[in-house]
Amino acid sequence: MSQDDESRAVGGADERAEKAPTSEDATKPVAKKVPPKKLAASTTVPPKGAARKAGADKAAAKPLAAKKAPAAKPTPAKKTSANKPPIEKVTNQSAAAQAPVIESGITESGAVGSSLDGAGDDESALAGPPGPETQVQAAAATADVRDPRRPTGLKLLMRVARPRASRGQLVVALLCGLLGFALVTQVHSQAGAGLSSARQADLVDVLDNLSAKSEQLRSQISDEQNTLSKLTGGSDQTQAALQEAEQRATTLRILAGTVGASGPGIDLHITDPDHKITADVMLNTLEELRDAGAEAVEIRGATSGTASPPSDQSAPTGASGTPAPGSGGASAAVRLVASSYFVDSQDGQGIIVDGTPLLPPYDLLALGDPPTLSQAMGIPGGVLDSLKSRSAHGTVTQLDTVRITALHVLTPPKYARPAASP
Amino acid sequence: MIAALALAVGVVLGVVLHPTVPVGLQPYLPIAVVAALDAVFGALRAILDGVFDDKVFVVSFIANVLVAALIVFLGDQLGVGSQLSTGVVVVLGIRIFSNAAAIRRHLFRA
Repeated sequence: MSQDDESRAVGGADERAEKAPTSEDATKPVAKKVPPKKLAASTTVPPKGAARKAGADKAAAKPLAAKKAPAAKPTPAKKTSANKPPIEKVTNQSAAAQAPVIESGITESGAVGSSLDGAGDDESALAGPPGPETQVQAAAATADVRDPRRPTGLKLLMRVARPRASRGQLVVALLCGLLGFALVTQVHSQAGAGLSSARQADLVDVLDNLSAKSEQLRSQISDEQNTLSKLTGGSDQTQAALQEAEQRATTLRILAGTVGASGPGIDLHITDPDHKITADVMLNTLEELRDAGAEAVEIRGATSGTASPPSDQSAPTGASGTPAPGSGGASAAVRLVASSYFVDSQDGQGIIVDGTPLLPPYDLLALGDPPTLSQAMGIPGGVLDSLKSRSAHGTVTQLDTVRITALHVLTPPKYARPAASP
Repeated sequence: MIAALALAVGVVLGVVLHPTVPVGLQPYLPIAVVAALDAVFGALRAILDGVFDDKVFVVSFIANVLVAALIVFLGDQLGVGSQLSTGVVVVLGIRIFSNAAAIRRHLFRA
């Protein structure tokens, strides 16, 4: 026994009524069915729907009408089917015109209801056995729904909403108040509480989700860090390779004589008053210097006066006009590299180094460990001895800073190409 | 009318008093509210159908609330509390919708 069962039954009836093409078709069979049920209801137990209407209309509460009621009951029902179409039209046309018809309907049903008011009361009806009462209610409901004079929609709401102070109404009001109170309370608690009002299982779920998410994020972090370190490491490697390459390039440039160099070294000053020094002596001296670890070597010598043609060699082999110390005339300096060569000059006055004719005195500047270099020059039977044997004289000066400025101009190799290192 | 007034009074009371929900009642209050809403919508429909009955309303209201709370309680004991409350809310929501549809049909004939 519940409100819903009734409403469902009524709803079904309602649906049928709505689906019917014309209202007449829907009402006619109903009108045939209803009266017996209603009669039975009115005789045994007061029908609730009718009672409610009666309650709504207190004006018609007269005990006199009670005796008429059972007899009067079928009549409105019959009238219903006959009157239905015109009433419908009126309803559609204007609400004002509808009013009197509805009023009459109310008074009629009110007459029925008033008898109930007089005979019994609401309390006894409520206290009655639930089973039959429900059936009766349902029957009355179906009748009411099909009663065209029964006001519907807002009008009915307004009528029902009219305040009546019965115990049932008060209980309903109490429950509604409770509902409102609980509703607001719940809304407030939800708005304010957040997680504190969540259930334990929900909290566990939330925690699980969060930890899973944080795990995922953590793994993402480590991934990103790996990528980052890979990228930065790559750039580091590139940087290191670049630096190494630059270092090698610098070394190679110094070896090739394309850049100037400075550092500790020696200055081997060779005086040759008799012009006895030939190219092979200079070559031996150079080899000795290289053996001792000279990293860059430059030879300076005087040039033959102001008019010093750069000989038959067309290539400008990097003779730079650096003034040689202790020489009154012009001087020239030649960087000695792997491809340098010494040739005796035609007139026997000097030597030609890389196409540049040089005259004594010569200065050989070498970068390297000064003590090692000077010792290498002074070993018995070495450079200095061989110079002496040619009536020349060499002196070695250890210097903290030797600046080698003469440059060798590279000619790009015509045939040789770099090959991949094994 | 009295019921509507009482509903308004209840809302105002809730706003003014701002009560805190007891911990033991916390899982049941939302479900109970939804169940009560269902009962109220059913009652509105019954009013429009003309079959409204105080007693039926009161009984269905209380029974709805109690059964909903019982289901949630049972679900909590069985370890499926959240799922069951979701189910209850879904069922009650469907009923509220159908009732609202009936009410709408009554009020607007559409």
